[in-house]
Amino acid sequence: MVDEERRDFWAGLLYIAVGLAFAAVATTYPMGTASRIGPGYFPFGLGLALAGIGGFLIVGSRRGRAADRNRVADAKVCAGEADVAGGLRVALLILAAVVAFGVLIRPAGLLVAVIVLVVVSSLAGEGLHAPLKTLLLALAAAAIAWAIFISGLGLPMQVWPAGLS
Amino acid sequence: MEFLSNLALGFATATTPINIFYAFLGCLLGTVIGVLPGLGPLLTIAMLLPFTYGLDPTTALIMLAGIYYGSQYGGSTTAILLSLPGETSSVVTVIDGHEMARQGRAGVAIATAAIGSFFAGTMGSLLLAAFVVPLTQMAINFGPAEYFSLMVVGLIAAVSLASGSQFKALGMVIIGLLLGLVGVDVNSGLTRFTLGADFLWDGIDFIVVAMGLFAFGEIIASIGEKSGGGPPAAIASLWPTREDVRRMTPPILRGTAIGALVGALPGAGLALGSFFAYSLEKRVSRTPEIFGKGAIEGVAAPEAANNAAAQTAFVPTLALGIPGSATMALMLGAMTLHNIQPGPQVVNTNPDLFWGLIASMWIGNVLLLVLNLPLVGLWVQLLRVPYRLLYPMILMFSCIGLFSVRNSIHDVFLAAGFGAAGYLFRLIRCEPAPLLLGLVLGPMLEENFRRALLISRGDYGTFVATPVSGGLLAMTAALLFTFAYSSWSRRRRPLVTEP
Repeated sequence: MVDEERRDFWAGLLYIAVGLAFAAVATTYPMGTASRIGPGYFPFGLGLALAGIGGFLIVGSRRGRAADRNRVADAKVCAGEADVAGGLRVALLILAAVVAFGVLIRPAGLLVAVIVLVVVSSLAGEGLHAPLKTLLLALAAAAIAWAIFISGLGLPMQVWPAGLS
Repeated sequence: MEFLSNLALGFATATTPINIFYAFLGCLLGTVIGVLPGLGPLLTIAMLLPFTYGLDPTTALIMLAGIYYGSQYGGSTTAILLSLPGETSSVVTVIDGHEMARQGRAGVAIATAAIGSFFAGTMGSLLLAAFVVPLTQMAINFGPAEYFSLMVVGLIAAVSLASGSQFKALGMVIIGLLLGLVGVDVNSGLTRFTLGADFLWDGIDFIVVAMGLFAFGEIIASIGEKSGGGPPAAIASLWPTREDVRRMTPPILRGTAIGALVGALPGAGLALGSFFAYSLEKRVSRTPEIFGKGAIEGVAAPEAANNAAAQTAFVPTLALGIPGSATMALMLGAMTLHNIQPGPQVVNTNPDLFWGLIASMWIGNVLLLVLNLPLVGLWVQLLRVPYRLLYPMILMFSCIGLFSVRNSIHDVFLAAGFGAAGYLFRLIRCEPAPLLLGLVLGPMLEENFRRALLISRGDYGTFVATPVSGGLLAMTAALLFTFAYSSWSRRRRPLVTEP
């Protein structure tokens, strides 16, 4: 199968799964009647429509399609995805950094959360090549964050780790 | 004649030194806030509302209006530079605007957005002033069936935003619609699709999805490309060339017209305006394939539509007392606080307020142009910062912005989840922009669907009963047909193997 078709196949599969999932859950809500629709009515219909589109995509991908229309864009995307393993590592690190921020901001406060965020996300870029620079960047980010959001805008959030200050 | 004397009154009110000062302050604050991802005009207006208590009501509204527009400008800037749509209206700008930035034309893109917005703002103010009454009439005549059909057309228009398979994009729209339905159902009080998580009761916030799909996705994709350490794309001239100006003019005109019309409808207007404008441009263009790859028309039209819609969004608020969006609701609240009852009589009972507001909208647009064009150089400098320093900063702003929307860490986690989803979507080439429109319109679509059926007592024919609704749905059917046709006809061509 051509790349394009493979992508369509997986997209179709995703749509069928998501569509059926939503529709299934929607059936547990009251449907109501046409004149007084219940909470399940609309999402049920949408879920089925989505699954239908997914089916259409899968059928289309197996029958063989010309991929020339998306050639240029494809080439760019192919080049970008060439290193899927590398991309995955980057993705996981960035998302881990965000999650770490979320975990830390309440108990540990804004400054710690920002520092951890910057350090972890920097790992995605150049790894541990320049630990001092990364730390400096993290501290600078924390300072800027404090200046803009706490001092400047006065947003209500924990700044220092709970228990300190 | 009366119109001119009203305008004169308006300008007299708006150009007092104190009003100009506050207009400037509002614009400045709005732009700064708009640039920061996550924080939006809603939060800013809410925060600054108490400071306006001591001000004269006209002045207060002028400042708040300045913030409102300023944040639209700021939002476009981040959309172009960072691929981060600050608001629904900037989602479309991301598509071509960010591409232009990647090609070294960030300055031109921002300048185009500023010029388009200014022009549309000016025209929008004039249209608002001249056509308040007919626009109000039109807004009143739009019943739930018409709204529903308009939104359906809008969603199909969103599909044409995708440069890839249209059916995939349609699927994304539906996913967005379904995600928009997550949360408490207003009509029955039932919590839908929340899987027992009570932080989902309020639904999934737009900025959470936008951040996850766009900003995080963009960062993840870009690190791989840019960590080679090479210099960023040479930044070409900051100013649009003659050719650029020639190309951006018709889209700006068309975008203004669409935005002005659609914006007058409460609720749907702002989101739909830019989507409609973009897909119209794509359709009338002789070279539709340039869209999605840095077409200046793809920035000019939606930005103009946005700003025009932002102006006419005041129509239902001022004339009918019906706020079109949460931000408008705040403005309405501000007016009530200062003892002004919006409604059809506001034009007569408070002429200095009404016309002063209109005049100050225009002044606000001028101020924003003055503020932003020189700043273009500054913003572009931002791109010169090595990416490895830049992206942690972007992440920091994003995460803080996310957290501050509802002071909820769950929003942060959810955004990370959408970031993962965005990564998967990129792999299968499903475009995120249509999903966002679906997300915003989902609840409104269902609500109008429900209402239309309620009024017609279950008769589906109500959707084709009126010419407006029927016509819009016919347009939808035609568009869907063309999608199917082009999709099938592509299949007939012989298979071409990838190199």
